[in-house]
Amino acid sequence: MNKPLSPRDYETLSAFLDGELSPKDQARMQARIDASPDLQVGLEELRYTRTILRRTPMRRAPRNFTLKPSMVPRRVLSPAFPVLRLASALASVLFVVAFLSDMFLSNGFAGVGTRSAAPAQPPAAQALKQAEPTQVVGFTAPMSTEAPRAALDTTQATAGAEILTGPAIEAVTGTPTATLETATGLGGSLEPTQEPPMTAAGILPTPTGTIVGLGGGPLPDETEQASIAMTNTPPGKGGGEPIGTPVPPIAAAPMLVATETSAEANSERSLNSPTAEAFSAAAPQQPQVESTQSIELQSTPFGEHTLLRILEGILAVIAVGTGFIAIVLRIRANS
Amino acid sequence: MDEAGLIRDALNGDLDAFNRLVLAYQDMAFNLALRMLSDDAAAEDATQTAFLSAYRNLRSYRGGSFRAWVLRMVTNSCYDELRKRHRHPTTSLEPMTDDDEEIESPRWLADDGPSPEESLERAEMEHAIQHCLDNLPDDFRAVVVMIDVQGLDYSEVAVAIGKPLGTIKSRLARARLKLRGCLQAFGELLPMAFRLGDEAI
Repeated sequence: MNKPLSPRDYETLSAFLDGELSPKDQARMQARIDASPDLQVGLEELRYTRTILRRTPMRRAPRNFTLKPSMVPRRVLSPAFPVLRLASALASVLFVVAFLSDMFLSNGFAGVGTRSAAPAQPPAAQALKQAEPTQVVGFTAPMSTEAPRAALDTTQATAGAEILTGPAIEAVTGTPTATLETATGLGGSLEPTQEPPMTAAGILPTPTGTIVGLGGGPLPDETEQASIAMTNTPPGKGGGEPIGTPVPPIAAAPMLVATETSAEANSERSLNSPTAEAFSAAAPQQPQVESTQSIELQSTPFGEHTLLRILEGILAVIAVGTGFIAIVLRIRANS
Repeated sequence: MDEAGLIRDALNGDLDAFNRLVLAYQDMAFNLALRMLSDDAAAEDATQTAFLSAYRNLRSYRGGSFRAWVLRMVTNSCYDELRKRHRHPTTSLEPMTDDDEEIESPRWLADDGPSPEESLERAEMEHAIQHCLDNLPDDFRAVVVMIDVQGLDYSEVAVAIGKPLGTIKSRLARARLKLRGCLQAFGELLPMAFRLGDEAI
């Protein structure tokens, strides 16, 4: 009994009929057809069908299907399109410029903010120089030769109090009190018996004049100052911390400024009680720096910044708006 | 005909160049539409729509057989028309039985106007073929018309249909099988040269 051909057989036969098999498959299929009467019948049926279909009469097109210009109207864009496109492009470019300027200025302002603490560097140098007269004014004449070195040593003490405990102290042995005071003012704890700065701040009057001279801002009350001083005292400068821990110079420098200014402000009283005066100069130093920084940040010219951002917003709106209208015009022209 | 040059000119907006391409392919396009839609008026509309679409989308032509690309436009246009018909079916002009099935009567098919014998045979054969083609699924019909009626090769049809070669082979074989059964029913009507067993072509 003849086995009916599968759809797969017919598919292969159909491709064989059209010569669409690979030469290898074509030869293999030819061998199968030769050996199978069913495949021969199937092939003949397909050939018959194809022959009839190929005899299907071809009609001539009843008319020409050529296109007329009226059928394909040229896409006429609105005359406003190039203007809008240009405006959008220009606004985009200007927006980018404004944005970059904004970023640059913002970084500049941030730099100012950092520099409010950074005056640390230039004033630090000044402080080193002015620390000399401070010591001279604040203390007795014998200090005049030793104090500069003491002042230098104290600044170094913020980075390594080891110096203070060693040669620095010995260098100012003539005026041990002054050296001790300066070291205390910087937060260095040379001796466990030394009074903490907070106590000093609580006892002694605050050099208000100094703060006004620095920034004109209000001075925190003494308790607050003390707490700020305690809080902000970097490790290594405070009481029980290791003395040798390096301290960022940024913190040391403003303190020197404060030392200088407060020393000037209290120069009249300093002669009577140098130790107490040194405490008074030391204790409020950190709060003063804090307030100075905040005052400088507040005085940043944000007005210009806001103006630039308004300009950015306007440019962005123009760029997006004109671009959108241009796209709409083009879509309408294409439709 | 410098087909590539005409295409290039047409891409630059030369409508005359495009119309020369239209004249070269309009018969083939119309016949494909006619076999697909089985209606002269609809085939004309589909052909015109296809050429308009071809002109508008000329930039999408990426080389290769331009004939296959044009036929793709025609095929798409025909599919659109067939989809419309499926959404809004119309009454067939062919006589229906009580069971709403079309009568596949050679007597009815032979009931054409008087004509010379050869013309009659051709008309009968065309009717038979078109009737069988109409009973094929749209996808099968497009493939078998392009390959067996129009004489395109598999790869061109693959481009025109947008399907892989394997699909083309499969659809063609199944379409031929269906047509074989349908055409055998018209055996007595077909000219002697086309009757099964008498094929000597």
